[in-house]
Amino acid sequence: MDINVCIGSACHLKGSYDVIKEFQKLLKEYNLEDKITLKGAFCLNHCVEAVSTKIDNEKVISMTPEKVKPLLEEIAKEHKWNI
Amino acid sequence: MEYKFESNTQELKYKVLKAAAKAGFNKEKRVSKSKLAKEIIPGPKPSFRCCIHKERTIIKERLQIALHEEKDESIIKVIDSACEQCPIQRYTVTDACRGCIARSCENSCPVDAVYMVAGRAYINYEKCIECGKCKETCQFNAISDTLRPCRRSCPVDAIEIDDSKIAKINYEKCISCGQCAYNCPFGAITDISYVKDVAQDLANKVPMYALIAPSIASQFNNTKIGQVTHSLKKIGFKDVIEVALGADIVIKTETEEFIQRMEENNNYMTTSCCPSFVNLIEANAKDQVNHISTTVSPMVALGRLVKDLHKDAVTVFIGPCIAKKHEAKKPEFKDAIDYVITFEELRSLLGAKDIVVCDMPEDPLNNASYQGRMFAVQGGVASSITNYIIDNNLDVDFQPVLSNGAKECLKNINLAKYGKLKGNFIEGMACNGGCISGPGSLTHQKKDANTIKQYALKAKEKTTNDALEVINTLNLKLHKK
Ligand code: FES
Repeated sequence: MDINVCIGSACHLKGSYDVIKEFQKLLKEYNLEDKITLKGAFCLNHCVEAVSTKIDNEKVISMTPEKVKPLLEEIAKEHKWNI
Repeated sequence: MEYKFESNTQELKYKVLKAAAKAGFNKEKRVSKSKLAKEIIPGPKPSFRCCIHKERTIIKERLQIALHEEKDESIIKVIDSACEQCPIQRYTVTDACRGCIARSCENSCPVDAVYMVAGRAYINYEKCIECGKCKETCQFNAISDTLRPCRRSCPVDAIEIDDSKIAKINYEKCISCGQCAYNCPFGAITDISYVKDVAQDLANKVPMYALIAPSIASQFNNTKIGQVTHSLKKIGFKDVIEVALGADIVIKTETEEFIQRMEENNNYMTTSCCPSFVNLIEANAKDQVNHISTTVSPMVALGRLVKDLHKDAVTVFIGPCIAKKHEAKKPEFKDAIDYVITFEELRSLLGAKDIVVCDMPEDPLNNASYQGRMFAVQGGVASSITNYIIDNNLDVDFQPVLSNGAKECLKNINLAKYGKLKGNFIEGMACNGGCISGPGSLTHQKKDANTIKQYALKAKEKTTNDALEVINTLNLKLHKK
């Protein structure tokens, strides 16, 4: 699975680096690094909902560092991954 | 929009490029240059030359280049019909000569080329060696130096004059710095243009990314960078990204390379970000080429990053530099950059879409660090590396020597060659003052350097480390070899 966090200007200013760092931390903690590839992206065309994050080339959602944990837990549950 | 132009030649170029961009946006296959020439030169009175027919002929030649219809892919071209065949004699006696008693001109000439004819000084051009002594000694300032502006501006003596007195570029010597194109008062030298191709791709909804050089900050008068960013997105760019982020990548990579070279007892290394500087070494000091940093330029680094994250991205570098057009065409960098356009071309691209930049809302532009942004100014690369060394507590003896302009670049390379350089690192920028005074810039003012500094201070990330904190460069090829 691919997760792309936008590092375009609008998202960067709203803290995409913090979102990415949170992802990096939790992916390690949950041992999901081989299942989820975390990547950056430039503008995903949802600047008002920064920090934009694209999940598996599909929908773009608005993220904050706080939302990372519930998101990963939900994904893990969906895929029946043990975390 | 009423732009302030630096000169009429700049304005003329704007009109021509804008017509080319319009043709691109309209996806026109066959463009009638005669029709466009008539629109640009409506007549009936000529504006600059002898008659409107000559003016239109020249415009058609300009359009040919602006529309990228020329077969020959050289970056800088002379428009033969526009070349005024300026005098080739360097020194001329003017009417101010009073045929005085002192006759310092005659007495100072080392080759007896000056003498009095009909009560006035006369220069025998068969003998004259163009040393300038007569001019220096004349108390009336009656001898003028009429060296052609193209030749005067060329730092490597690459402009030659053919039998019909038309300027010719010696491409063996040319380093693509573009100074002749900027300095010809008749606008007879110009750069190859991709503005039509870019406009056409935008019209075809190709995913285009604008990679914008830090010197953008001093370009548009009374306009905020955010307004330029918004304008670019409005005409169809998917995103606008600072090349200064590429500079941050370069700072890190180049510092690591420098440290390694010093450990291997290399005596010096040069920067590689200025393509004219690289060309200068390649053409004039072949035996020093291995001292050029193998780190790619910020443009290439960013181009590769964008393409790594967006596989279908088409990258357009927008900057003050004409030599970047040469760099981007090198086979080893073709994967990184699809088009290079100058700020002049950017202005016409926006003009073609009737975008009034100063009326636009602002979009943010913030991808890079303070240090990355300072690359645009002379001394910026060296100071960024110094800061990076300090921030990371690196143990290395870094002694930069700055070279301002191509002539100084060459001087420092020669000093290094003979072991006389007072340092171990040469920062080379072929334009005086750095990229901000590039030939494709819209303004060339003293205050520009300060404008860049103010803009650099607004970066969210202060240091290169901060800017690169989450940027994954592992997949990127950051060295030439
Ligand atoms: S900058 Fe992130 S969506 Fe536009």
